[in-house]
Amino acid sequence: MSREQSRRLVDELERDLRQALTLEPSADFARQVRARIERTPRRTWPPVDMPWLAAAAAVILIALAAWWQTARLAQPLDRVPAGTTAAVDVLLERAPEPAPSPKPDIVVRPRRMVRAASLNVSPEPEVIVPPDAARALARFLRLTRSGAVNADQLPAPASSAPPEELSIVPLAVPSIPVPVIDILGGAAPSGAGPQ
Amino acid sequence: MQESANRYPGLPARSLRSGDAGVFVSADAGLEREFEARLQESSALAVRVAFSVLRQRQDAEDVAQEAFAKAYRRFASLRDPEVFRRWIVRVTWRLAIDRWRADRRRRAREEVANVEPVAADAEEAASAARRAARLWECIDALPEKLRIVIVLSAIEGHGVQEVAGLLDIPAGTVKSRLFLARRALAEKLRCLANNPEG
Repeated sequence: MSREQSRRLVDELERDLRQALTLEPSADFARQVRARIERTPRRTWPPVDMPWLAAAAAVILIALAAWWQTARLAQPLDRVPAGTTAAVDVLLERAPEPAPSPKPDIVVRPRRMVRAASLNVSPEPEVIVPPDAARALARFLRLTRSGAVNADQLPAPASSAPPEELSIVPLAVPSIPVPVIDILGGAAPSGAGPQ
Repeated sequence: MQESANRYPGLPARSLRSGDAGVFVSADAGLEREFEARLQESSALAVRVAFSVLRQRQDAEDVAQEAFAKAYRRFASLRDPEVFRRWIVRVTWRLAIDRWRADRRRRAREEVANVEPVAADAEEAASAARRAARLWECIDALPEKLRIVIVLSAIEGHGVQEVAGLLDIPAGTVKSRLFLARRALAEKLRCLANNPEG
């Protein structure tokens, strides 16, 4: 099919479309619209449009979530659920629970728990300890408390010798003779030349 | 004036609501008259837009009436004639598409019944039915954005600017969509010519 034929067919199609869309509404169209308006029940609920209602509900939900989160962080430590306080025990040097646990010695807690503990228990600022060091400290504390390690038998920390007294000898700077240069060509006085 | 205010039986003259807040506002009979004028001006446009989707006169009128009923409830924000026409085209189109999707199965049965030649001149009727079927098959094959542009340009001899105003899009966009629609129609017609059985 050539381009010209194609264009002719499209024109013909558009003509058919224009013809098909020339219909007029029926004579009682306006009357039926009025009847439909009359039949349509007036809206009584909700009293405001849905977008406003949805926005208000979203604001309330966000406020509730923020309040709940704040309340949860501010709760006292003794109300923190069991099983989540092991690291707090270590940090606060509490006696550990007697029941042995197959779990690791350190329970990694969410940061918010540490923040809650520091907010409610200790006025000290939070100290950031590398995880390996914290694990080693916790193990050391546990072994010490269980008696497996006697702190007295531990080697004393390396003592550093006091620094020796240093005597500082003042520097002796010999005097440097400066020759007098006769710029007019005269000989320099004997004994004043460079040596 | 009083007569005009009572065109809508059962509704008091001061019954139009503001569009956004849904609160009853004080509206005089002039507002009712304006709505009546918009109804007279735009009813043919709405019916034709609905017909381009539904191809059933009764369904098209029903959808157009529903659109006008919606417009009445928020007429306070649609008083500008251009805004009203734009709004009524958009809402009628959406309502018609929704109705078409809901009634797709029933409509298919009716179309099959419609293409059966019932006129005395059976050959001529069959030819017209084939032609109409080809027309709507091509139009239906267009994407919705292209279809509304070519339908509106076929209604009431709308030009590019008028279609752009009705759809609230730039005239350049209307031109490019018309171009794409015509190219797609040509492609579809070529396919139909090469494979008449569809």
